[in-house]
Amino acid sequence: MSRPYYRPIHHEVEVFQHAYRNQLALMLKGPTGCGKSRFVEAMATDVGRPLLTVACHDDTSATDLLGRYLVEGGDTVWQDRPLTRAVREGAILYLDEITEAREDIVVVLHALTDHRRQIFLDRRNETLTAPPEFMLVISFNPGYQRGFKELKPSTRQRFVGLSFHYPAPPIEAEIVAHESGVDMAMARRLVTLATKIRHLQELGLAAAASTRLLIHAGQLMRAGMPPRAACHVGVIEPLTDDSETITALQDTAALIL
Amino acid sequence: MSLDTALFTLALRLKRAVWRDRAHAAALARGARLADLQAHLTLVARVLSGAPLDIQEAEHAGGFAGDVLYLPRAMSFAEDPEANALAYLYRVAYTVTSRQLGCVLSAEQTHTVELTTMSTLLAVPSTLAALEAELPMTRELRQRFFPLVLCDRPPCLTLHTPAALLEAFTQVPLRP
Repeated sequence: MSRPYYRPIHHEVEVFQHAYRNQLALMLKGPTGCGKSRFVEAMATDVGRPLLTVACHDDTSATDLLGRYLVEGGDTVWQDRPLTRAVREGAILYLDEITEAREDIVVVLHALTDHRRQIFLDRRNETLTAPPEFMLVISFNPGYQRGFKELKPSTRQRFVGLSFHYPAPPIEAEIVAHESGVDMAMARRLVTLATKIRHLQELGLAAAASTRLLIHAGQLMRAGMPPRAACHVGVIEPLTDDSETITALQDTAALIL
Repeated sequence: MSLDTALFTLALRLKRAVWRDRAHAAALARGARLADLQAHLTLVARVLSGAPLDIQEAEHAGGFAGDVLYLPRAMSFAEDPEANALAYLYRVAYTVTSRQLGCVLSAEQTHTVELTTMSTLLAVPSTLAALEAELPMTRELRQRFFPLVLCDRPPCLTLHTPAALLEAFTQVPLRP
């Protein structure tokens, strides 16, 4: 499998490698669409381990991660879920948006993320010890959790932490150009627009213009859509439903693109 | 004044007043009013600057006073309301960019025409360079609107004042 494109921003690759070698769990913090998931994909390829990703949501429970008994024909069969599979296979397990999940998964993670590196499957009365190749990576976006769904300190302190931000404009332009196929000049313009939007909290946007959105707009341009139209549907509409803000952002985009 | 002269003068004034009214009505019809664009331009100014700017109607000269950008009540030199709204947009982009560079005189104080014009003249090269780098599509708007703006300006070379000379210099780099 070829390595997914990932452009290092600071020293995150080295941090991951050290954490992996030392069997430490890793916590990634950062806004949506800034490259956290891509980073984990690239790192899993680098260390040569399979990657299991779980997009956590309100209903994600410990059972969803560990496993369950299913009825197949006349038999009852145990089915491993991602966490158990990852521990058995020595894979990289990536729990994306962990703070969205139910709190019962925290209990499961505690024994896995300290010196024991174990999970206990109570329904099977089985304890699994993670092999050295196993690694747990979690991520969340501190920006829109707004304090009501935060990780407890006792959980946070079991992880090595890495903060992700949107890259500096020259690097972000490089990423947008590479991923979308637009030329560097157009990539720089897209980044200029995003930077201006990000600087202004008063627009009341739930999230900032992400690198992912810029890549979407670039891909639409690359496919032949006019730049302003691509920017409208690729960047502006996903950001807001407010018609005044949309018009203002369209005019700003029209000055840039 | 003879009766003939008085009647002639009155007729001329009436005719001029009618022309003025017609011209004014035409300007109103094709013009854009700040009141209609204020909320929109404020958002654009904030996005462009990243600062909590406000836009208000200028009583005299436009420009910045603190975080308030004063703009004319209406603009009507372009051909229709949409074009004049674009002219407002250009003016916001230009003035905000100039401010970002620290190249604006505060409108809180009254300045001489010479100082105002000199300030504008000195800000033109760096502002245009910044616009070209960050907001390249403003070049198209400048090329479209600047000749129209010039139509409303008095011919500089016939005005023998320092301000006129400075204005003539200012116009040179702005010409398309």
